Formats: sequence, C-alpha cells, structure tokens
Amino acid sequence: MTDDDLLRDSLHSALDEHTPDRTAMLNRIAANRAAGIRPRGRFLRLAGSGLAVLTVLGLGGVAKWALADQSPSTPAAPPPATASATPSPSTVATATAPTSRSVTSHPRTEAPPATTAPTPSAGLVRGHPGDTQVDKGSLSSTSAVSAAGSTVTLKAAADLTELDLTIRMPDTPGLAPDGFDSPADTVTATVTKQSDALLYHFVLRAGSTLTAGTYTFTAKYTGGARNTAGDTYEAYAFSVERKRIHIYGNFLPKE
Amino acid sequence: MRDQAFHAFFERHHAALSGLAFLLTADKTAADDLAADALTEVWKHWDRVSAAGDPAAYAKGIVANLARNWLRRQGRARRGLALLGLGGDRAPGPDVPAVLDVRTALKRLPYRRRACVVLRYAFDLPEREVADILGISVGAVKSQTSRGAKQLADLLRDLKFDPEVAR
Repeated sequence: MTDDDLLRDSLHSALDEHTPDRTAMLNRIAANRAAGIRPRGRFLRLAGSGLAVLTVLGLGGVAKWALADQSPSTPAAPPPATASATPSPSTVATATAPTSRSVTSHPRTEAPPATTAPTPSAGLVRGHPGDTQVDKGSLSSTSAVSAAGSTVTLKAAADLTELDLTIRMPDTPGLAPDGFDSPADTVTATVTKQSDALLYHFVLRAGSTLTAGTYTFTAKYTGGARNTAGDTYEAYAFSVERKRIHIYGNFLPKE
Repeated sequence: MRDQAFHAFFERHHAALSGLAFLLTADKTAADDLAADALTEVWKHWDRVSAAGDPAAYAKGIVANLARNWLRRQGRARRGLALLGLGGDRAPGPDVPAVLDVRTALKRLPYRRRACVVLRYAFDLPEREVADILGISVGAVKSQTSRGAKQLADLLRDLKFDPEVAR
C-alpha cells in the first residue's frame, strides 16, 4: 500500500466515523442568527450555554423557519429574540367553539404568551413523515383522526408550566374550521386560516399549570372526508422539571 | 429565495463541514458548533458569497479558520495534556482502531499541514481549491501537503507496528 492510499483510506474512514448532529447545528445557526452577533465572539462563550439555550428555545419559531423546506413569505430577517410574532388580526378567525365547551377562546393578538414562548407564526409545522419526535422527556403524544376531527393526545408525566400546541391542516377542498375541543379551562385555543392551511393553536395561559395527566386536543373541521396525510402537529412545552420539550408528529396511521 | 438557497446549501454541505471541523479539531461537539458558526457566516454573506462563486469553498475556509482559533483557545493546559498523553483519547486495551490512530496522529501535525492533508486526502480536493480555501498559494499547498503526508504516514506506520506507541 502506498503512502497515498494509506492516508486516503485512513482519512476517509476517520471522516466516515463522524456523524454530525444536524438538529444541534440548526439550533446553533438559529441562535446565532437571532443573537445577531459574531458567533465566534467571546461574548457567547462567556454568556454561557444558558443564554444560548434560552435563545434557541425562545426562538423555536425561527428554528422552524430555518428548518422549513420552503419559507412562506421569506421574512428578511428573523424576529428579534424577545419578539412574539403574532398573526395579523385579520387572519385570526375568531373562536366560535360550541357552547358545550367550557373553554374561553382568545385571539392570539389579545394576549401574547410569555416572551419565551415559541410561535408557530411561520405556519410551518414539523412532524412530516420522516421528521417526527412524538416522545420527549416526560411528554408523549399520540394522534388520531375521527369524524369529530383530528385529535392530539398528550400524556404528561410531569406538570407542564408552558404548552403551545399547533395542529396544521393543509388546505383540502371544502375544508373549513368548526371549532375545537380543549381539555382544560386554562388552555386557550384559536384557529388561524392561512392561504394554504388551517392552524389550530392551543396555548396554556401564562402562569397556569397543566398537571400531569392525559389531555386530548381536538381540531374540528367541516368539509367531509379529507386526505389527512399532510396534517401535522407540533408542541412546545416546559415542564416543572425545568425541561424544555419539543415534540412533533403527524396523523398517519402508526405502523 | 435566499432562505431556500441557504437551506439547500445546509442540507448538502453541513455533514462535510462538520466532518472537516472534526478532523481538524478531533472534537465531535466542537465540530458541529464550528460548522454551524461557519454556516451562519455563509448565511450572513450569502448574496456576496453565492455571487462570487463557490459558497462551499468559502464555508470550508471559514471552518478552517474557526477550527484554528478554537484550537488556540483550548489553551496551554489542554495542549500540555495532549503532549503528555494525547489527552483522554487513548482508549485502554491493545485494540486501537485505525480511526483513532489517524486522529491521534493528525493532532501531531502542525495546523496548516493538517489542514492541507485533510482537504487533499479526506476530501479529495484539488490543490488549486485547497489553496483557495486556506488562502495560501498552490506552491504552499504542495509543500505543506507533501510534508504533512509524509509525517502522517510515518506516524500511522509507527502506531500500527510499534506496540508501545499503539497502546
């Protein structure tokens, strides 16, 4: 074996040995972009992981945007770290939930969640086939499609102090929102109509706690049977163990 | 447009950039961070970079610079460790896998040689491109690569055949 071959083989296999953490990289890029500082600066190192983590998590929306296969209207720059992007009021279909429901509904513009709450404003929800994470830490999720609508069931093994769940339904012929079922008074729901999708959005009110348990969120719609293959959901949560949780999935039958 | 283009760029190149940083620093976590930082720079200057020609080469150049800075920052303590026992990278037991050999051996090369050898042999890039990436002349790439290759090959042979070193 010549030296060249030896080196090439050795270096190629060393390179193959390394598998990058794609998600970590995307998160770091999102954080860098949000921070708007030179990423290699000393500041970030000194500020420590705390700041970085906060920024990353607070900007889940930006991360999603970075992850998105196609950006909707291509914002020129990510929103600043504390901005809580809200859909423009005109797009918020007011909550017209059935009276049997004990949940009050607020358009998101009325009470923006805590500054750290990620926002689904980009309208792109993770959870497409091949890109799912239905369990994380103390939170797990299942989904189902029924005549009543599309449901996401969250099972929390620990109390949640923040929860932000989005169910996204790409437009199909005849699809129209028909309210929602929220499992707790403290969870407010809104539905937003986008040009290409309906976004059902469930948010735990700031300062409230969702005790450990199983909760079912239903996004109702009319328009008859529809193809749900493109439907996705994504949730951000914060548990009492002080763990930031991010899960996402879809409504395809589980194998 | 820009975001889509950048996203496509990320998907295509993030693994290679992280791999480059990994071979240069021998640190998995740092490799991802450095590559992500380099990608951020690419994103910042996307218009200029993509207009000027090869964003991938530009990104590799940034990775090489960031990796060098990172290694400097690791400080004397770590360097002392590395000199003494090559850090904690030496796994116990006689079966030192070939990959570990390369990484420990690579660490002994001066940075520029290491960068040339990695880009030429791990990434199979032509000398011209390596010169562009590192911002040095083709002549320098040639001499650095040949010295680095010889040094690395010697080290690898030592590691392979000398049981004392290989342990």
